[in-house]
Amino acid sequence: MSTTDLINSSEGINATLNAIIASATDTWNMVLKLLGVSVSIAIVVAVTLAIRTFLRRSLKPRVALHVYNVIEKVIVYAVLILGIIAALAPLGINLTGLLVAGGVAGIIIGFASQTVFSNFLSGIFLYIERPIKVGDSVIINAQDSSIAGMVIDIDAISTKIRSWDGHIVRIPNDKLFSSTIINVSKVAAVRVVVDVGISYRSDVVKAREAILEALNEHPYVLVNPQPEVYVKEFGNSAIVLRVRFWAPSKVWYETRKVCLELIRDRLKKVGVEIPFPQLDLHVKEPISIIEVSSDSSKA
Amino acid sequence: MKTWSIDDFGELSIGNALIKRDGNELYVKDLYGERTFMIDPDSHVEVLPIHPIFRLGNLTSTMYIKITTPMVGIGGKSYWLSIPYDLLIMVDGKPVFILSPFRIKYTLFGSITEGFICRYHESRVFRESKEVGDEYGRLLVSMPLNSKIGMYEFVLINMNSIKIFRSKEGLKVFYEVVRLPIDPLKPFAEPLGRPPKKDLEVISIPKDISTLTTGCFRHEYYGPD
Repeated sequence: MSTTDLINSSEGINATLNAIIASATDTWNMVLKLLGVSVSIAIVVAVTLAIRTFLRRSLKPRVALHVYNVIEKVIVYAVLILGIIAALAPLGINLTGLLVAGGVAGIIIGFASQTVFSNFLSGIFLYIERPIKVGDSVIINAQDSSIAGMVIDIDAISTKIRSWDGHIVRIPNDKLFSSTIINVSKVAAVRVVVDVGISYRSDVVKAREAILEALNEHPYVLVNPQPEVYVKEFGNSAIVLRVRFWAPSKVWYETRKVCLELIRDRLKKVGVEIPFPQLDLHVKEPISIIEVSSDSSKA
Repeated sequence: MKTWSIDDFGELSIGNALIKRDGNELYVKDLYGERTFMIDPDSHVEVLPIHPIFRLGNLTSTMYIKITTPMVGIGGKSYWLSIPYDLLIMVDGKPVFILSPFRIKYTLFGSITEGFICRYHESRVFRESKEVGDEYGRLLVSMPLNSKIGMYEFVLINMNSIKIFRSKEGLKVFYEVVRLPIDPLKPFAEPLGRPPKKDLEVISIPKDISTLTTGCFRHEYYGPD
């Protein structure tokens, strides 16, 4: 073997060795990258779990369960997906396209789910403001309708109310948020107002005392604030007395119903008349009454 | 002498409450309703005095006693007040009905926006326990030693935190001794954890009383027409 052959042979070996070393280096780099990505993903998962634990400890006790579940899922999945995307970057995976596609898809989904998102946000604001809670008796006055009943469920998108007729009414949260809400259960007591007409022949003082006595008999008519009775107006057929009393908010309507009967019975007992509308006709000239016989009617 | 148990053909009348047993029939009545039960002739019927927060529904657990003759603070002195109670009818240890010997009224304590509902009762101040009317419960109130409030016109009590007692002889009802508050911003009387006198039997309220729906006024809010 000549020297030239030897040189050529050694160069070939070198090239082969270089190729092997280069290949090993690439493989090693790839292994390192994979290792780095794995470690990054592990860190992302650990951070996500830590965030979830933090949320469960700090936020869950303060927020309604149905609201919390949504918040937790949104935050956890957002952190997880963004973290994994960032962790995959060293592998040379071009995520720009994916992000752009995701952004476009997000916009499309966003437009499609605009109402859902609006309801969801309204639900969060409703939770923060807390104008109603499950079990409250409410009257919802929207632009085109009015619903009265008891709140039976509040979730992220809608609120369900059992109307006093027994129907289950689902109100989207954004509509509820922009409505006037009268919450009857929010206060301990409410004022009940009824008008009672008595005849002009009746004694107003006697009627007032009788009404106050009747109200005093009912357990739910509160001692304080005191009930009051006064002349509201002189109507066409009656002196109108306004009766105002306070009752516990849970039982005000029942109290009102019973008190109307008590007032009526007591007024009747003391001889105060509750009149009905009457019309007195005054004729200026005497009216001549003509007797019409059966014969003349035939004619 | 009347006792808290009713034999085969006996009756017990306290205030407006009447419990009448005629063999196997038990009739109960007060101002707010009446009911008849068929019971076993061998059944044991007992009447337990309980806190006056159960009849006509659980609207409140707070008692507001308006003192018609206001007390002027003399530190350390004690006075008696009358206080209502309800009657729990027990048949063989099972609660069946709640009666009120007294007329029931409620009031609002505090402002219209932030106040709360209380059971209402009016009482004079008595120096001796025996001056309190026979049908009423008795509450011994102690004036605080360093009273800054010159005059007490009402007593506010959380009924869930105060014990109730009955006498072993006769039909007397007592409540745990309470001390009137010093701070007007904390208006609740403080239970002192002791009975007002000896030879009293503490009443333990049955746990299943909360499931007892009989004896409640029609309570659910059905909403306006």
